[in-house]
Amino acid sequence: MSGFLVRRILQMLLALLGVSIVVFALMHLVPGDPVRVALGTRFDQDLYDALRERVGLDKPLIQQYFSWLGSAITGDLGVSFRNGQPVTTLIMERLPATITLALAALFIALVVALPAGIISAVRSGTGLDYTVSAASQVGISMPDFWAGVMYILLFSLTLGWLPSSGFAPFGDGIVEWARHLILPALTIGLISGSIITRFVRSAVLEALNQDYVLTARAKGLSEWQVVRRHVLPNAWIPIVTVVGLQLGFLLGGVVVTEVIFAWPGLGRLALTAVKDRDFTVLQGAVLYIAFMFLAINLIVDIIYARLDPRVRVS
Amino acid sequence: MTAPVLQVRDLQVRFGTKRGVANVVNGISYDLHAGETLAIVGESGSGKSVSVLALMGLLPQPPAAVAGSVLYHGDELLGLSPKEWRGIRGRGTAMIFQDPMTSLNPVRTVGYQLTEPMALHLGLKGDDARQRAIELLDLVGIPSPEARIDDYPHQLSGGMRQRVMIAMGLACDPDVLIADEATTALDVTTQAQITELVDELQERVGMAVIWITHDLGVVASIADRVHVMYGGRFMEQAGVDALYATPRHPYTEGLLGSLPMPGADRPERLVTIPGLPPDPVAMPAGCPFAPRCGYSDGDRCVGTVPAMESVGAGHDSACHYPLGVVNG
Repeated sequence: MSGFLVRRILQMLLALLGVSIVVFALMHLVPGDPVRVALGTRFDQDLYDALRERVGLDKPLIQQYFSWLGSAITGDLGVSFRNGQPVTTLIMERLPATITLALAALFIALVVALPAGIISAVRSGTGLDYTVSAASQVGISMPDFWAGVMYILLFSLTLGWLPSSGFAPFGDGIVEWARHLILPALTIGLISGSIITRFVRSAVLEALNQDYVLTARAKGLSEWQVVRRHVLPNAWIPIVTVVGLQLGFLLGGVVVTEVIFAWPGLGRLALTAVKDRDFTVLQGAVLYIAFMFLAINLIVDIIYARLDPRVRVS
Repeated sequence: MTAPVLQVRDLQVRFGTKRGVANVVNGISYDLHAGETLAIVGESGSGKSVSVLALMGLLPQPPAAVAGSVLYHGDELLGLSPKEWRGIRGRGTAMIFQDPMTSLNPVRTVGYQLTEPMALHLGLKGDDARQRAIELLDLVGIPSPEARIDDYPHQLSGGMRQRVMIAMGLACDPDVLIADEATTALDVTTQAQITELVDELQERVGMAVIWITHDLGVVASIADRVHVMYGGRFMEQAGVDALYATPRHPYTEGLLGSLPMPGADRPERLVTIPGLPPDPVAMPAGCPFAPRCGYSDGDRCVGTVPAMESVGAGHDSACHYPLGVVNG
C-alpha cells in the first residue's frame, strides 16, 4: 500500500510538471500583451519597458519559466499584473467560497443521484426507471446559465424566499450562509446529480447482472439485502470515479454559475484574469485547478484500494 | 420407501419474449428422495437449468411464468410469497452454480459469504458462525481453513472456489442440493475431485442431490437415476446402469454414441446427432426430437407428443417406438 502511494504521488508530481509547462507555454503563445493592457490609456514607452523588466518579461522564456516554477514550488505564484497582489493570496481569498459551493453542490448531487440511480436500476424497465431516466436527461441537457436564471426568477424575484446573488461567509451566521448558498448549489448540484444518476444506474445494473447476485438470492437474502450487501459494494467502484471527476470539476470553479450569482469563487477570478491578460493569476489558477484534479484522483485511487481487494493486492 | 423430499409434477416454464412465448420447460415430473442423486442431462437450451431455477423460485416472474406443482415435504412451493421463498432458499434447498470464478462476490471475504446464510436461517452470528464456517471449509477439503476464511475469492483457485460454493450450500444443512453444471467450468482433475466430494458429503449428510449437467461422463460416476432432457421434456428416465447399458430412446442413444469410449474399439469417428435443438418459441407439435430422429415415422412422431411409458423396471421412455421394445 505505501509503495502504491509513493508511486501515485510521484506520478502526480510528474503530471503537475507537465501541466505547468503547458500552462506557461500557452499563456505566452496567446496574443495580447499584459503590460500593455495593464497600462491601458496611460501608455508610455519608458514606463512600459520598466514594467516589463520589473516583472521579468524581458528575459528569455525558458528563464522565465524556471524562475516562475522555482517560486511556485515554495508557494509563491508571483504577483498580479493588474493590481500587484500576490497570486497565492488572490487564490486563497477565493477558496472558501469555491469549496463551500463545490461541497454543497456535490451534496445535493449525491442526495439526488444515489437513491434515484439505485432505485432506477433495481426497478429497471418500469415506469419509475423511465421517469428517472427522463428527469436525468432533462437535468443533463439543462444549461447552467438558463437553470440559474430560472431559479432566480422563481425563488428570488417571484417568491422572494432567497437572495439572488452574493456569498455570505459562515461567520455571518448559518442562516444567511445557507440562504445565499442554496440557489447556486442547486444550479450545478442538479446538473452534476443528473450525470451521476446515470452512472449510478448503469453501475448498479451491471452489478445486478453478475452471477454472484444469483448466488446471494439463492441463499435466501431479500432483494434489498442483496442490493446492499452484494450489489452496491461492487457498484461503488465505478461510482467513485465519476463522483471524483465531478468534484474535481466543481473545485476548479464553475464560471457561469459564479457569474450569474456573483459568487466570489475561483471561476470568476480566472475569467477576470483572462479578460485582463493577467497571466500570472491565470497561470496560478490553472495550476491550482490541475492540482485539485490530480489530488482528487489520488484520493479516488486510495478509495479504490479500500473498496476492491483485487486492487489492494496487485 | 419414505416420502420423497421433493415431488415435481408437470412443471412448466414459459417466457414472454419479443418473438413470442418461449416454452422452455414443458411438463416434467419426478420424485427426489433423501440421500438420492438424480441427474438431469441435456444439451444447452434443453431447459434443465431453468427447470431447477424454478424449484428455487429464482426465475423472475414476469417474464417467466411457472406452472405445475412442486411439493417440498408435501408442501406446495409454487405460489409462495417472496418472503416464504426466502425461508426455503438456502435452508431447504441450496444451489451451486456453474462458474465459481463469477459466482462468488469479489469484494467480500470467503467468511462473510459463508456465514451469511447461517445468520439468516440459523441465527448463528459472530464467533459461532465463524467456527461453523471453518468447520465447513475443512469439511469440503480446504487446507488451513482458519487462514482461508479471511481470503477474498480471487486469492483462491477455481477448484477451491467451487469448494467454497459447496460449503456455502451446505451451511444450513439443506435437504436438497442442486448442482447446476457445477463441474463444467473446472478442469478434468478438479471435476473428479468435486464430484467425489459431493458424493462423499451426500453420504455423510444424507441430503438429496440434483445434478444438472450435459456431461454423461460425470453422470455415470455419481448419479443413481438419470433423466434425459430435450426440448423441455424428459425423453428417458432410468437407473444409471440401465440407461448406459440399454438406452430406450433414440436421443439417449445419440448422446451415448457421441461419447468417446476409452478402451473400446475405436470407431471411424464419433457419431453426431444431425440438426439443431428445437426453438422454444416454435416447439414441434409432436415429439421434440422427431425432426432430428433417424427412427421418426414422419407421421405419429411429428403429430403426437409421446407419453412417458415404462419400458422395464424403473425405466421409462417417451418414445412411440422405444428402442429394443417390440411394439404391439
